[in-house]
Amino acid sequence: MNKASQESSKPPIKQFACLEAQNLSVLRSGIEVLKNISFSACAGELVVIIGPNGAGKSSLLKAMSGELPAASGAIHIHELEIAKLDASQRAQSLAVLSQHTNLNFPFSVSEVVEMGRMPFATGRAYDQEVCAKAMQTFDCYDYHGRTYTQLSGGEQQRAQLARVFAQAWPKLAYSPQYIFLDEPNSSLDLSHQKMLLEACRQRAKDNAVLILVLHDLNLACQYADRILLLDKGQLKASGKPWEVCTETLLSEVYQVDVKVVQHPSKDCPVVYI
Amino acid sequence: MHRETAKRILYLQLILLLPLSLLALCIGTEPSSISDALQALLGRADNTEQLIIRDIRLPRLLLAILVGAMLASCGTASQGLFRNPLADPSLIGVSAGASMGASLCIVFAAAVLDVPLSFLLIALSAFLGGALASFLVYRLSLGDYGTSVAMMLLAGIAVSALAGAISSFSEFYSDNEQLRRISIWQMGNLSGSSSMQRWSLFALLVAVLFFLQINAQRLNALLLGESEARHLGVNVDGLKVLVVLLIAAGLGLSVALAGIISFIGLVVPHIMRLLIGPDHRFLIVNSALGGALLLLLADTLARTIVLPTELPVGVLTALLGAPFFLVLLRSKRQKIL
Repeated sequence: MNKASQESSKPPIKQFACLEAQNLSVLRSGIEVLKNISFSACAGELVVIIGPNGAGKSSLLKAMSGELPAASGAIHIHELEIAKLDASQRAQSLAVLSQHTNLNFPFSVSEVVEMGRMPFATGRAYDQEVCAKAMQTFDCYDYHGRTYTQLSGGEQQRAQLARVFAQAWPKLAYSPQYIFLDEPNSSLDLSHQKMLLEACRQRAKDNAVLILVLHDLNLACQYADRILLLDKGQLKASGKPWEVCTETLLSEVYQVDVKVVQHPSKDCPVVYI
Repeated sequence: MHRETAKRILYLQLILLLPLSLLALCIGTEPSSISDALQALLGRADNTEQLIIRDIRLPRLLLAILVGAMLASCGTASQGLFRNPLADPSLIGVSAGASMGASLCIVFAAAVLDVPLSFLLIALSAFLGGALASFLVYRLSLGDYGTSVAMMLLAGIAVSALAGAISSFSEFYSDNEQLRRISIWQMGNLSGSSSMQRWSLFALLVAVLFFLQINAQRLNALLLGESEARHLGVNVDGLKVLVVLLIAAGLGLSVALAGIISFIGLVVPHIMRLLIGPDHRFLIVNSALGGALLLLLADTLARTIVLPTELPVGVLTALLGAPFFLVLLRSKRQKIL
């Protein structure tokens, strides 16, 4: 066996994207919004966080992106503590879509998307190519010259998604990437929700770690590798869709009677009330 | 496509600056011809002509250009910082804060600190007053999802009122000479600057433009939102402190030199955004030039339309700018309420 093939057969442990939360607690204005949460997510996984309003979903996402400080416990990405990364390092491996985006200035859609390439020095030509592909992924290339402030809510959301995906575009040399999306399907129609989740699946296949907050349990069940169920700041359950989306668990957490049946064509649960 | 338009507008403004400057040199109580004006600039005209053009009109012209450029750049920066096209330094209390600092200095510096009243001291206290006001308004108007327009304007009103009251209080304790000085200066006046003052304003303008320009991309990202900018790798807190300091310094020095000249910082960035889009990489320099042009034009008008006396230029810019602001408010009504 020659040397080259020996080297390629070694598992690239150091480069393997992995996110780990250990005994994480977070305070917001003195109230403990996350209590003692531990989980991990690895390259190639699409993890969906679900839970009732105020369960701490967005707070968990913000703590993972380093925006909210941990009161106790810690979050590591790629074996490094998130709080200790500097801003540009973090921006190169982590792309985040917040729940509320508010842009009042008349940028064009492509200008908004190009901001996603800010953390990188990959050259204008390459950046524009990446942005064009990202816009095509989210079906907003057709209106890339239009003014952002004049778009509908769904069109704005797609432009923001294209910006986040342009930031987390697969690199030429493999390096770990994390994509956090907070309710990315809000204000998207059915076909664009499907487009979004399929783009997420594709990025997971390209070895990124994706963590999404979703309210739609059926979308979560169909696309997630793993579901985290949050309730009152605590991690109530974590596992495959069939393990988490059970009638007893969901009825207890959401305080409403739910029925769970098998999806007619896929091996995943369908939840209805 | 914005890039090309931006360049064209930039060149157009540079070209416009020449004839407008010549015009400003030539007209006034004692109009002179263009060739006379050029002769006087080269020092070859007779004494009176030379005095009028080189020692009175030229310094005034230079100061108008510098102050206009400074006000427009600071306006652009503060609108970027607040992520709001209505955040003009004179509306959100920064100018009033700077003015308060300067008034306090004029009246009390000599009495309390027992030092001679110097221009630098006035500029420094104007800077401190402006910085205080901008930090205060920024902290008050910052909500969870960006700055709230209503809070920003209300906080601006409150801070302006407070600063105005303190200014009035200091006027109450001033003697006749100080009072005259304060009131002339508050109306906005571009005449009678020394070359040292113009050089210091020029140096500060270069610094402000330099620091804004190298942060232009980061300011763009900040328009997306604070956390968005953080996720794009921007050191948001550092950027905010830098911008507030630049605005306060720029406004402080302009206010110390020329009094409150409102609306340049609101109108110019707005017109520029309509022409070339909101990208700070092109907006900052274009706004600076636009501000220079507009204030030069306004000042030339102010000193010629009611000959033989002249209007304070601050009155004229407010007369022109306030209706513009009302139109702006009307067009943005849905977003504000």
